[in-house]
Amino acid sequence: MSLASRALRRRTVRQPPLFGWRGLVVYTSLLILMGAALYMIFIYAPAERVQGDAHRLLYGHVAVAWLAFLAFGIVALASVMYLWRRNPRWDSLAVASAEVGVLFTTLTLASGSIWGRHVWGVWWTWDPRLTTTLVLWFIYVAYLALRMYIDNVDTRRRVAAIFGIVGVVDVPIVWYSVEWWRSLHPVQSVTRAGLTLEMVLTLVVTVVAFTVFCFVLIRQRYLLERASDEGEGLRDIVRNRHDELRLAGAGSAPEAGE
Amino acid sequence: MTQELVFLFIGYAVIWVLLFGYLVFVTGRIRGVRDAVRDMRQELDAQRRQPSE
Repeated sequence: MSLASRALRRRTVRQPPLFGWRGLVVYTSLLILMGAALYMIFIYAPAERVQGDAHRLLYGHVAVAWLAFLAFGIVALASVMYLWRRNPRWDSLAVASAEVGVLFTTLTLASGSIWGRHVWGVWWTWDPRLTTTLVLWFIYVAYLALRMYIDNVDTRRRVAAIFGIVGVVDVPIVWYSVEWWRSLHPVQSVTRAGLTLEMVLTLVVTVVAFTVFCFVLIRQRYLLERASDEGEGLRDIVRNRHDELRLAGAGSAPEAGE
Repeated sequence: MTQELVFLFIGYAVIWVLLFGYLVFVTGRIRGVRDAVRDMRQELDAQRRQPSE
């Protein structure tokens, strides 16, 4: 009884996320930024000399690829902080960023594949950049799968944190793969890629718009993880309470029968 | 519509559908989990108020 009371006092039900005036500001800003990005991608930016309009797909592709790297960087940072502080909020941030990072890597692979089909004539080729990106995707899918198969909460968090730190090693490998190995993939430098000022501005606005979207997704997923943790704790209390009541009932039942 | 624009449309459609789909999915799950948490808290409150305990 006292355990349940203490736990209930400690926990508070938070308001729904991103609703009210804060939600209005965030979602309105997001829509304006996304509208501006779409306008610049489809109307403002000129068509590329060789690739034509297919080049416009690369603005979204570069933005989601950059955000996948950023999300996995946050996983590594949050994992280090969890191992240092042992605060479950860092673990929640790590899992939220990992899931969003997997989503953005999926989008990177899908948009790159669609672009490659048009420009290279194939949906997929075992190019170093593509292969290392696929490996990155598998690493973080494994990270999420690993979390599902470890029942003990502390062990799960600790093992996932170590995995999250080790996994981020693939990010610089993906980045430098076009320089280390012979690759079909365009180079990652804006100046070496021969972009005009309009193209660079379009890329910047697109990256900013997708970055805001990425942080909204990480925040939402983080709140879900915190709510799940809260639910898990309360479920244990309810289960213990039911056990206590059952034991009390079993203890009093023979006396009543006698 | 040229083939280039078809690829462009498919590419951005995939990106938008997955991003907004994920946002809607996660927001829906938050509501579900919070409803479950609220129910459990009410159950615990009710148990705490029972005079027999």
